[in-house]
Amino acid sequence: MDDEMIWDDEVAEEMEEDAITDAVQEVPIEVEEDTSYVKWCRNDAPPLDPATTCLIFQQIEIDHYIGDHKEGMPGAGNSIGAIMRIYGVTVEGHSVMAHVHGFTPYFYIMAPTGFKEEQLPSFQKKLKALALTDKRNDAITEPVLQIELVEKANMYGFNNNEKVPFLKITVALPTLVSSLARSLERSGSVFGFPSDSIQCFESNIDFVIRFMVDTKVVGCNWIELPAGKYTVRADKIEKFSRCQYEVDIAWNEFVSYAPEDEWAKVAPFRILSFDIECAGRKGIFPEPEKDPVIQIANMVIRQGEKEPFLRVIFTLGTCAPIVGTAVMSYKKEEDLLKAWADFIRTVDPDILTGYNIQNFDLYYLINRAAALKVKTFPYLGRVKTAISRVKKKILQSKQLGKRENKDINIEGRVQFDLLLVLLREYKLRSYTLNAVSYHFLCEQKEDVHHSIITELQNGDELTRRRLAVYCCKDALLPLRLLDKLMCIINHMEMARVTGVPLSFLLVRGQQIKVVSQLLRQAVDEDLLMPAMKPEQGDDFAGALVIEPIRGYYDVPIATLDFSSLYPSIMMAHNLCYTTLLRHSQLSMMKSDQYIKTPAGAYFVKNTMRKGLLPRILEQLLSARKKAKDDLKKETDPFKKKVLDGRQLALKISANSVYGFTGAQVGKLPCLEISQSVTAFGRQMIDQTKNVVEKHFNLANGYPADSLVIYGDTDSVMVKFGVSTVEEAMKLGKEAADFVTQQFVKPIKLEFEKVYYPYLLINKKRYAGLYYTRPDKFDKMDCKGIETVRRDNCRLAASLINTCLQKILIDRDPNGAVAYAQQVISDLLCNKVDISNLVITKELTKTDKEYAAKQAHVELAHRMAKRDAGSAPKLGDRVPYVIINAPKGTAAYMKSEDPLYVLENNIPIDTQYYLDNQISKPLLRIFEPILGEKAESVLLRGDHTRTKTVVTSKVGALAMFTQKRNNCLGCRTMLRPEDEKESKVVCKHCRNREGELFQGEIMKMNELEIKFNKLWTQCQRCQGSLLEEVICTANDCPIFYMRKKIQKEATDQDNIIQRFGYYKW
Amino acid sequence: MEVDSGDAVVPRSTVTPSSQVFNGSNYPRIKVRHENLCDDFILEENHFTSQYFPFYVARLKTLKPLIQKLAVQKWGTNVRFSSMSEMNDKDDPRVIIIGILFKKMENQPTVLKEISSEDNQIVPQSTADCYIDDTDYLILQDETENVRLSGNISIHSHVTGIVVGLKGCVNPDGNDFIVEEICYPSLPSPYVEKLPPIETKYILLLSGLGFSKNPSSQLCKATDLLKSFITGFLRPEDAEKSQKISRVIIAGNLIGEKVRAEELAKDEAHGKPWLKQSKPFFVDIMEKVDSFLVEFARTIGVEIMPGHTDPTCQPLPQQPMSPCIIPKSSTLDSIHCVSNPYCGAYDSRLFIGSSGQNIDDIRRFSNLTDPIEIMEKTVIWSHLAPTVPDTLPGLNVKPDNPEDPFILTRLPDVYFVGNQKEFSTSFKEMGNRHIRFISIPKFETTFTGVLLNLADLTCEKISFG
Repeated sequence: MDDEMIWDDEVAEEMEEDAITDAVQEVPIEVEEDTSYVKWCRNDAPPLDPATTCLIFQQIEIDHYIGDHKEGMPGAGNSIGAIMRIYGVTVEGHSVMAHVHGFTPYFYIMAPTGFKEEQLPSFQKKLKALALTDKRNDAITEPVLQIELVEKANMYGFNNNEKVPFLKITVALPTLVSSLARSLERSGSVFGFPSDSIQCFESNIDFVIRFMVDTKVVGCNWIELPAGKYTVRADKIEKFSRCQYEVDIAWNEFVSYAPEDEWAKVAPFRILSFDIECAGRKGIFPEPEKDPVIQIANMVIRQGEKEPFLRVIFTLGTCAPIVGTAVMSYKKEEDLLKAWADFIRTVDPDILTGYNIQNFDLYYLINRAAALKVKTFPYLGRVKTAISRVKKKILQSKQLGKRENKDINIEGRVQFDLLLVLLREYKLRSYTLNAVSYHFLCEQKEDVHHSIITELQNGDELTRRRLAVYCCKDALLPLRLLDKLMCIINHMEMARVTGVPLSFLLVRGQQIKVVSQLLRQAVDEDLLMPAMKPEQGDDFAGALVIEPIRGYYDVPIATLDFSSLYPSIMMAHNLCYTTLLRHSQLSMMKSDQYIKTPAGAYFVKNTMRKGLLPRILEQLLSARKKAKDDLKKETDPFKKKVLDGRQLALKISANSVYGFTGAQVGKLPCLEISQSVTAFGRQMIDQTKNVVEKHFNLANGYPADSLVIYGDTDSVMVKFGVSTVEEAMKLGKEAADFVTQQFVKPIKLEFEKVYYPYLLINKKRYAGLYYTRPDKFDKMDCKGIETVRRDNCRLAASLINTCLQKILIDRDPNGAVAYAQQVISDLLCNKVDISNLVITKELTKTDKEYAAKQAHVELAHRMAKRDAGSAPKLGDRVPYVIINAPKGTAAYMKSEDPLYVLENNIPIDTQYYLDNQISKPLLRIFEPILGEKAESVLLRGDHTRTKTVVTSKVGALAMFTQKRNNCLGCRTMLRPEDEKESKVVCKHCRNREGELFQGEIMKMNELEIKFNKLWTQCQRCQGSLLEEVICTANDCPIFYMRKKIQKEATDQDNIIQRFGYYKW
Repeated sequence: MEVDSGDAVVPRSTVTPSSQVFNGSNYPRIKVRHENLCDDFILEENHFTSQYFPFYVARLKTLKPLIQKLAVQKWGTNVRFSSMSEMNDKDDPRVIIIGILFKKMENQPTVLKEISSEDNQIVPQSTADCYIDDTDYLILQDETENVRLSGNISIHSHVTGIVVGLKGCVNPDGNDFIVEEICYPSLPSPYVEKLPPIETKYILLLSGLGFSKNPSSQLCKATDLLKSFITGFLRPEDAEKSQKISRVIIAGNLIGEKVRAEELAKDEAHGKPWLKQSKPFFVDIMEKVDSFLVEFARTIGVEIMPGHTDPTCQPLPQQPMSPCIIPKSSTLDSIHCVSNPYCGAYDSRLFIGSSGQNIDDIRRFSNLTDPIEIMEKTVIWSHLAPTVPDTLPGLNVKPDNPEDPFILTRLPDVYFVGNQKEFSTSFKEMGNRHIRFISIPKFETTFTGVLLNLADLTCEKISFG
């Protein structure tokens, strides 16, 4: 099944005030606009005449505030109410904020049987009284604005297409929705409802989503305020915001464009990427209460452009100039922070980005400014009176596990933290900026250790300049990555497709996207979504896996896939909330009006009612088809990016619908649907196997009896018994069409690819060469084999990968065996680069919190004893290797710092790596080929007999060992009298001196070249030939290599030197 | 400095019968006064713990005053010199900045590309003849600042490591420096001011003798001819010329170019310590070389420079080969193993030359192709090997007192480069001195050497094929 189908369900989202931010509400202060840097501002916006011109802009963020009713706008007069704010940018790049008036929050309850229109006033009175029992609502004179009797239907369960009366309760404030709904559910009997039977509908919908659904606004679309329908706030006093245009309009007067054709374009948003540096104390992770912010680098780019148009660095203390970058130096940290906040307000970015800004940079700046009492700092948003505060937010999902995030409000600007994007969308070994940059750009980033940062800061203007250059690079890199990965475009398209604001995509789970689509569909059909309470339930059976027939197949294996399996099952069988039948309803139905799913649930056929979910899926899939068709036709590279982003968004969205129904603690779980979907899936796979094997056989005139060797979730692998890829493809296509006929539309079995050769190791573990054309393979495809697991050393992954390449691409299983033997020998002879053996773990908790002793925690302790300054701190990733130790030493004591190992020549526990890291995955891939003898060939051959014994420079025995030279020819110890003649050879080997010298020179040559390659690379990476390399990026693949080569080359040079230096 | 006053023709009595006369004729071999000036290239120790930046710092430090000197001559004193970090002056935007060029190249092979993300082994990338690309650009660097260059500077006729002075100003709308004119270091003075007149005598320049385990018959024949030519067993008319040859310089690559790759491919035990190790492939070949040299150098002094195929260190400056590699011939007084690059004087004519790596590397990273043109450039740049150590390995300098040995400190009279495709030459005036530039062809493929007349610095090729 597609990788994109990873599905998460958030368990709980809770917010709590961060202790650091003062609970006492500060009175907002007026921050004067700093106009001294015109170059930073947006271009002047021409005045706007609302009577004659319309205002069109692309919105990027929507929120609301509680304000007084505005004259001439809809909504309850003389009362406070919710006013929406839409922020955006015009096509010319001017910033806009629109106050949208008169949109009121509401929810529904089912009307009690026999409820009459006349009862409404008394009901409203009672409800008001109920609302006012809550002290928090004291300020509101009229909490319940209106109650209407409407004809609607519950979307959960088939209802014979009949509508029933519902009460639509419109309230004054968004917060009243949930509080009133809760009160109602508790005290239903007051209103003559049978107690505990009040079911609220749509009371758990975000207000912003409610607004967007009702006004047909989708994320990041274009909005037009028609001429004559809006008013402009030109006056500075009147203006709430720092936007260039601030306007007022009624909620039902503006035009929202669907993001199609012309309106698929993207406005020139200003994107600001920044990075801060702090001067930490030795051995302690910087704390905002104590450690100063010393530099803030900023890069501002317009969406769609290649290079930033503004590069500004703020430094504490003087800093030598940097070409092309404005250097702003400050003596006092308070001034620096104040100036940076001014800078943000002047530049007025629409999107803030950076690497880990949300959980570190922004959080740190706000708290640091609070600690220094910089009063004007926290006004970072576009609303003049809004103070940015830090809150903690816990998000839990299957996808990401439990994560604590900081939540910071910056009104009108989207926080687009690259780290959060990557965490959500890519599965990587490591998420450090360095690792990420290497992964996606194939470039290393210079990494400066915290202790060096403080040193550079305490130097002179030139060392601070060096730091500034480094800081600027860190600010620029996220922009380059965003561009390379097309993050902004892809997310905008996702926001457009699913109809949620851009900011929701990063901080909220998957469910909100489905809810938004479901609501949009339900409104048209007068259906209401019940507000369900999350409940824990049992897991249900997953997808079917046909037991694999393991082995190495040197014949083409055709793969048949069900395209979009789960969405098409839901469409084919009309599975939806609205079509679900209860057992009690069966008696009233004719047997041809419904189906029974293999999971034992009942759904009506689409002749009775077409489900919402199938309808949503149809739209998504047909939109995807259209996007893909357009993509083929489009020539403009930027528009291509947009379309590609869209088709991907549509695919992910379609797949996530199934997950939504199965998320048991979600907004609207329905296990009947999700269980039926998987049950159908299992049945179809099974059926496919039977049909294929029964039809494609010798008896029916085919070349051989076909055999399904494996099947999983949505695909089956078939061995047709033919010998060429071309024949396999022909039969594959035929089989796909033949099987498709057996299923209900739109379920479609597609022939996608042929694997040849194919190595089937186990369930969900296989590898093969992937062919979509008969002449040339596309790639090597591996599933479940490469150990991306971060706590494995790299050696395992690289060994397995190379062996697979040899087996599959070179078709050389013997070569693969030889290679594996070579690597094992290298390992035992201590020739494997140590970076391949490094295991990293994050130091997440203080040692008290770790229950059992752990290798990396113990190591961090030992390192702190050696040098507190450079030791890993909380939150750092600790790299370590396993070293040799006396028998019986606890495993956690065998960890050691790789650098320390290199410097002191400490022997690695190579056996540990062989036994614990390499042997299992290696045997796994070789067993299908070598069978039982795999272990003896790979792990016990001659190549395991030669081992290099390393003598440590530290440790108990080191001081007693005395180094004597050996004869390089025969390894006998050289006696002092021999050494007078030659320091290299004994007298028996004297005639071999030339030969031996040449052997050593050959070894030396390899090391010299390697030394040069490694160290010039670091020089280039830091971008300067004349400055010392100070990079300490220990997840760079050459970090340990370059250290090791220094030692190896020096050692080898010492051997060469023993031959003596010859003067000619 | 070792001064060898012309007795090079005297072989050591233990090896050859004492004979002061030229073999096969009655003419005595003509003498030449030779001085070995390689001291700057001799590094008695290696420093594998230091980084490369002191090397560049030293280069800039030495060449900067020389550029300032010429810049004042060229542009007068009206334009101010500025460090790159202080050039942003609105009133006086035009400045001269001095620094080292750094060429940012998209296609440059890097060790990071060699190490694929999952497979941490260094696999050599396919080598190309030239790595330049349209997207390349130049950056000027000094100790603190980098600036991207635009304007009147040709990207592809420059490489990383050249020290230049640039007149121009910072682009007010961008991050780059707009170059108007370039200034290189002022040229050094020659070895001797006035060359003493001498009679006609020749130096024979050879390179790429290309020994291997199984040489082609053609190459064997050419090598034999060469040997006979020098030792005088030839036609009498050749003998006269041969007698006037006073010295031979072999500019690198005694061992054939493809030998190392071929032999390593054959060696099954390479990198497999559990198998019996065969002896290094060098050994047999160097034995052949040794026998050749014993005969060849019997009557004439030979300077042997190592090349990239030869068994000594790989990074430049390559150190003289060890005598234990050629045990028989090294006992001859006439054999001199020297460094690469090599610097020596013959009757006060200064020779500078290399076995080709410096020139070949510049060719890979620029659009310059003609070896003569590249050699002329290196004189203009006052630097023999600017791409060391960036793309061409260089030996590490002493960290305490770094020096760049490749800076041109004396103007040569003869500048040669070995192991080129074909013979070519030019005679060009540079800094009031005529310099003879020679590209020596590979003997291995062309069977050709170059005869240089010391008296008038004319030269001709001489074929043995």
